Amino acid sequence: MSHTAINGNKPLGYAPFFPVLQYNQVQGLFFGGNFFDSRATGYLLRVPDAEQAQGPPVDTQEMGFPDTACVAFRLAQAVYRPLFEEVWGKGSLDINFPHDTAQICATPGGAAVFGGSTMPIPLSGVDRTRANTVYDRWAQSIDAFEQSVQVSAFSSKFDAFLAGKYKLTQAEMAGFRLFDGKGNCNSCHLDGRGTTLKSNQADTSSAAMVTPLFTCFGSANEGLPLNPRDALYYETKPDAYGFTANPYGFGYRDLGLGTFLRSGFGSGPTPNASWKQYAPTVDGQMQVSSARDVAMTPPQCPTTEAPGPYFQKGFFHNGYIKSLKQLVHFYNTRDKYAYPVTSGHCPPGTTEKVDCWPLPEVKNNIDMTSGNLGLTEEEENEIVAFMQTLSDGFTRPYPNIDTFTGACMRGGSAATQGNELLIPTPPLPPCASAICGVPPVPNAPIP
Amino acid sequence: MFTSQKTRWKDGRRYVTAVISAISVLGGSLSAQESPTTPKAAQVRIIKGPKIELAKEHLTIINWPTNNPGGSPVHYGIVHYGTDPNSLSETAKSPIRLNPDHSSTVFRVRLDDLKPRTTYYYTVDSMEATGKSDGVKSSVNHFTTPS
Repeated sequence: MSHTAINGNKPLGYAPFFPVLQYNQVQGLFFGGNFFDSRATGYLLRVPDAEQAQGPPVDTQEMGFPDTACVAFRLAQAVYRPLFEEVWGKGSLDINFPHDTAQICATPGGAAVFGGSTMPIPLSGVDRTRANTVYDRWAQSIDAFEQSVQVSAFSSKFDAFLAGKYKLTQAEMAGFRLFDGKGNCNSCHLDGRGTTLKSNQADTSSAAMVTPLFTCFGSANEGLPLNPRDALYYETKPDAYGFTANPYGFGYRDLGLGTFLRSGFGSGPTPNASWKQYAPTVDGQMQVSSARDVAMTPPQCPTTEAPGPYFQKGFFHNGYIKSLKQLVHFYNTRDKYAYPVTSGHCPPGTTEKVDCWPLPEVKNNIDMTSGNLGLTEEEENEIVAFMQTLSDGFTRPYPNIDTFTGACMRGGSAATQGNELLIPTPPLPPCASAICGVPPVPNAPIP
Repeated sequence: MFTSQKTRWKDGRRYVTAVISAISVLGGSLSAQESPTTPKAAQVRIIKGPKIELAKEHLTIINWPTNNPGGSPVHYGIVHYGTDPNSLSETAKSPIRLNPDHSSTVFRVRLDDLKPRTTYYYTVDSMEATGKSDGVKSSVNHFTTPS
């Protein structure tokens, strides 16, 4: 879902470079913000990435703090409290927390005991302001880290190629040409090439101007099928705390930016009421992620692609796609192999994700730039090879101190990896009116 | 990054100012990485077709290439259609992204849930995301849906 990152990962490296969400009147489109539905607008802190960091701690589907002041509470007890105060001011963490704050912060947000309150910690006005300020400063600190070379490294093979320090292999160069040509990927995943530059010319412009981010910062509906494995569809009953995550079950549809502009279910409040009118033109649209690091894996597993040994990732907003091969094949054949079925119901004689693509979850505003590109099998593989040059850690080791303690997976093929986990989508009820009935309603109506 | 523990608040504020300045500088150069509004073509002409790219029971796609129209990065292909050639009362629109490096652009429009075994008449046009038409001249074409 755009609301949660359960099965799809939204890369955080390079997220800091997205501008504040804005509507460009001349171009007639939105760009900027963070999260698939752009709900981290950056309106207040002037950088979406900082506001993105503020999401998960108090998101009922993520870390689930019941109150943003819990961040200040935990920071006040952290071993690095003096460092925080050094940067953000002596006394910035001097807040009088009530004696039961620890107990409140250990109870998940949305629990029935809170009665709908998002500020269950009783703080004085002055202390609440201090806690809010800490929440903002903490987010800005995380953003500063995410902008640093430790996270946004620009150390990929492609960066080395731009600097004249790496020669692309034949497959990688062919993939690069397809990325810009027949694949047409760079119409959205901007690769910073000057329009007058030929592919065999070296880029001599200054690094800051052409270090490409492989995104246009905009949004698009690529027509991904609904993924019935996403846990949110099943969270329809109250949990032990009396919280129900998704009362609509399979009546939930992810309208992405469209839901956000309506301040809708699972999203956030839009900061600009005049944007609501545009919601029908952006229903189903999800933010264009940077293609950088799309192929990144923990160092223990060299690839995302079966037979591997590989590390299993989920791609796009709902994790439906399970390999880069499937990703390119989807862009290449989504329309050519379109069937009027939901996931798990491809007709006998066809194989889902190979020669059968189920219906889009949201068929409004589908981006028709791709869907029937006419790429051969080999050309698809070449584009995958090119995408694999976008992973950081080539010119210097990626300073990722995390250790993957699981086992890399083995076997199968990239074209069908994950297919053994496909389940039949149950008969879909109509889209809940709380999502599809909020004016201005989607145009065409969503069934 | 963080030097001596004796650093005073004043230095902390200088650091913060330096970080904020760095963000502003980065922001300026990165606006070069947004999709540009390119110069509009003097005239937008259909190169070939339009043709029925796909005709399934649940989905029809009409496809036509033009010279790159320029203008807003998102464009819409538009199909005016109907079962009466003199009354093309229905409209279907699909967005695409222009590629400034490409001399031609392919417009593809989805028509969902047409009636089976029916002849539809249609014309095509395209427009910028703001609604400004590309002024494409298209004759009336027709196709018949499968059963």
